[in-house]
Amino acid sequence: VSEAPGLRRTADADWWDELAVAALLGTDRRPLGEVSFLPGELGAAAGRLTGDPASVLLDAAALAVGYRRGGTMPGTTSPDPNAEPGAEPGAYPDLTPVGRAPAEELPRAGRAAAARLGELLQGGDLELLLYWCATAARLHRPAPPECLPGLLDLAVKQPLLRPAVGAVLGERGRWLARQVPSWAKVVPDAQPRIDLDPQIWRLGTPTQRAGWLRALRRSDPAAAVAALAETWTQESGPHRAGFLPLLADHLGPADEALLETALDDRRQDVRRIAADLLAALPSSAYADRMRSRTKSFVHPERVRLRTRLVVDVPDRLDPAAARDGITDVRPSTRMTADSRRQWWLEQVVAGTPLGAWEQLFETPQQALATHFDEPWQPAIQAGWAWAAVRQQNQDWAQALLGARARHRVEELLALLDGEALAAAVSGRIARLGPTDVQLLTRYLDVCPVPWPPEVAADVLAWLRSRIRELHPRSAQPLLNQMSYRFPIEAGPAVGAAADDLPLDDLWRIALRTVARLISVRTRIHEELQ
Amino acid sequence: MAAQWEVERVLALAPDPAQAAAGRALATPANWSDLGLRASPAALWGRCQGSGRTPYRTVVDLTGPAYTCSCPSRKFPCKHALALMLLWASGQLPAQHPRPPEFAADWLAQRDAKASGAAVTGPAQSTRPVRGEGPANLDAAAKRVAQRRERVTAGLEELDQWLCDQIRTGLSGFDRAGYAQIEAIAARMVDAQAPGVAGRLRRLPAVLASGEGRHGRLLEQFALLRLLVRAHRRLAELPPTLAAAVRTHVGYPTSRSEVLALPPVRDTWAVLGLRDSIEDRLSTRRVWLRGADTGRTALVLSYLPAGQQFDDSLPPGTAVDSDLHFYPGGIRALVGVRHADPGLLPRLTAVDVGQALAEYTEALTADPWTVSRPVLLGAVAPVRHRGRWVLREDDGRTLPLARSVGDPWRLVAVSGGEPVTVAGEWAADGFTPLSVLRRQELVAL
Repeated sequence: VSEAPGLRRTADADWWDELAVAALLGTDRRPLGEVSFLPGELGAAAGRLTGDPASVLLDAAALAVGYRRGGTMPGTTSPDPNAEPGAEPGAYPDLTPVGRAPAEELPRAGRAAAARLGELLQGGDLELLLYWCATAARLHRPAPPECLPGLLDLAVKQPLLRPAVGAVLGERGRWLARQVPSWAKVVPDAQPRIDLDPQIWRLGTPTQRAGWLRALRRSDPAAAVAALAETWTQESGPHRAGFLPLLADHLGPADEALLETALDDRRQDVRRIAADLLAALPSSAYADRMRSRTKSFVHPERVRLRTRLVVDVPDRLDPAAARDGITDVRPSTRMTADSRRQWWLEQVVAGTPLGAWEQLFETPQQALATHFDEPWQPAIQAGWAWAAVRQQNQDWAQALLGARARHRVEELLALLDGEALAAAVSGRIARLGPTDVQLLTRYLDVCPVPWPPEVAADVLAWLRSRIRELHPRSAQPLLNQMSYRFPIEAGPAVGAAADDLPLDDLWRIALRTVARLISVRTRIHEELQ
Repeated sequence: MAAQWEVERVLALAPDPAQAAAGRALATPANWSDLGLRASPAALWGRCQGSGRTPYRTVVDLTGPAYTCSCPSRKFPCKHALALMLLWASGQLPAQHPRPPEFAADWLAQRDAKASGAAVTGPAQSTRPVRGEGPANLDAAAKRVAQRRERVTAGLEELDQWLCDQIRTGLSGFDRAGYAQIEAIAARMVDAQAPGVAGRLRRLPAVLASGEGRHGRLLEQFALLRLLVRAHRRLAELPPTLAAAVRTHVGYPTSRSEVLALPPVRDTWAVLGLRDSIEDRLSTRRVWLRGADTGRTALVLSYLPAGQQFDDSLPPGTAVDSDLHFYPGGIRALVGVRHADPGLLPRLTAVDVGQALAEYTEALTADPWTVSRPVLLGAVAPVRHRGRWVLREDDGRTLPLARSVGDPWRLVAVSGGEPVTVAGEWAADGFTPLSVLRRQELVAL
């Protein structure tokens, strides 16, 4: 239907090659002879050349060069298949790009922002590039089209950047990513829309099936678990272990039956996943079983008109407990008889709905203030922290952090937001000494970016008060965090803190660097607005 | 009066940074007396008190710009001329002076006469140097030109012999012995004062190393060299533009002042493409322009030792209302007087695929050694069809991209599958996109 995009006239290669071969062999060995093989007017003009054979060959070639260069004709392609709306890749395997990009609804980043992004893509600071993307995404500014190939290439090389890049692609970027398989792979929503055809679940490859299940889980969670339940007994072990975690998305009571079945699975990893998911379902039979275990382990006893809590963990557990995922050995630890019982208690508390404690305590704070006999106190505290994380319970998380919890601090912080988070982080910062700088960076890692102003102020105050005991080099990770996560409004405060120090102070230089990076971020922000 | 220049523009004229600094230091009215300016043609003058007893007399003709100064400096413009222009640029010159003082009047009168002379007599006779050389010098110059012509002719005959010898014995032997031979004949061309030919020869090793099909490409280059030899033999009979092209490719020098003396073409010149390359430790910047009214294409070349930074006097994506002086017989030009600072791109007329190819053929007719030609191609979409990237018009006609371009993803991204206006260079082996127009905005690729 269509012709290759031709550069030259038909069969042009042949006659030029003939000239080239003659030059390659040399006219002494093979004289050129007739030039009648040259086409049309070129042949006629060459025919009039006279002189020794070598110069005739050169002159004929000179004419041919002009003829070839000057006689280039446009190529052709058949009527535009791209004019067809909604054309998808694959429909025309020999054509790229396919289709036209959908219109961009949002206003794109302007010139200054585009120039800045171009610079960052030329091998600039990756953290600043991340900041550019995050800010553009927040302000709903898709990246300028000319930067998209650079962004997509970077996303291929740097998995960490993929979500940030994905957020600024816009319609044009998703369209572009669809044209190149390696780009489409790193931009999930650039892939052709996942077809919810049930055939895929029955006949697709494992990756296709996982994609199908994930997509269906988002639109119709009950249908997804039903589909998995239907094929459950025919799935291979690795597939069961691969598909079951997908139920974590939109987990609900409808999933309980399949998860109960999975508790009896042959594979340990499948059993563990099932127990983990059931522990997040407070209304399940699993939760009831855990609640009654907790009741048998921890019960109030009346002694002289006062009620105290007695912990009583048996020496052996029944097989039902093992079925519910209670293990004997804490991963990568050596266990003694005592530590095994503590580990049982921790797991049972962690699997029990936190609401169960309301019968004993009015508030989480009261629970946390309660004293239990040694050695049970740490086990119960660790179990509560674990349960709060599993059940995503903000009240308990806040209470645990307020009570100086030592377990799962980062995970608990991640449950909080806004003022609660700021208060929790600030409360922790105040108690950290100069040697705890690593711990501080870990806490700050879960803070939303940019940090809430109170957190930023506390971090700066903490740093200023520890400056004499701390070398800038050992605080480098913290300084990096400050450079890229500090709220830009707090930039001047960092600059002022630097200016308070003597000129030759290493800290002055370090804080100046932080302030400079914050001011670059300020400019990025302004350019994007 | 010409619009007042920016300080940066004056400093860009300085031959080196030290001179610029010296000029700045002198740019206070306290150092000067008899300062003045004339509106049209624009000129500045003044006396600057130096270390000697008599002040230096400095005059600047802004239309060139051209300078004269009684100081002994061999730098050009000297620090006094720079300082004078800086005073003007920063608005520190007194209001207009009715008449230039004597020291300035003479020189300016000479300049004015020359300028009107050039305009009347046209390019053919205006090749004499701008700065005064007496009749005796002219004789000597004519003698030098004749000598050079003889040397070049002898050298090119030798080259012709060499070219034919290679074809006689066959290019197959060239793979082994070629490099040493090329260097020897290239050195001979330098001696024969044909540096353009020497440059062409020195690019042959790259052709030899270009793999599959290299003998065909080698033959192309040999044929073009032979064509140059034959054209040079008949230089006197050739039409003026073709003769100018031959002279350029052989490497006869054309001085800047000669070109600047040719009548200017004033237009709003859109800066559409910029390409830097490094060759032989020399950075070359090719900036190409398109006139909004004349539709003419121009190429402004600048050279610097590798590693130095080019100035950004012609920023892509802007348009400059200025005079261009074209080298005879080509699109290469020098920037003359700028009438305004760079502004927004004007509306430009683009060509379609057929017109682009016709323009290229026309350019080849005027200069058969033309390799590439700037093109502003309207309404094309980049498409990969059967393994080759092309620019495609809605009617289905296509122009292939050069293979050296690779995958033009940036262009694809800006186009989004829709036809766009693309600025680039067309050569026989394909199109190289340099930038794309998005409404009135230019996006560099």
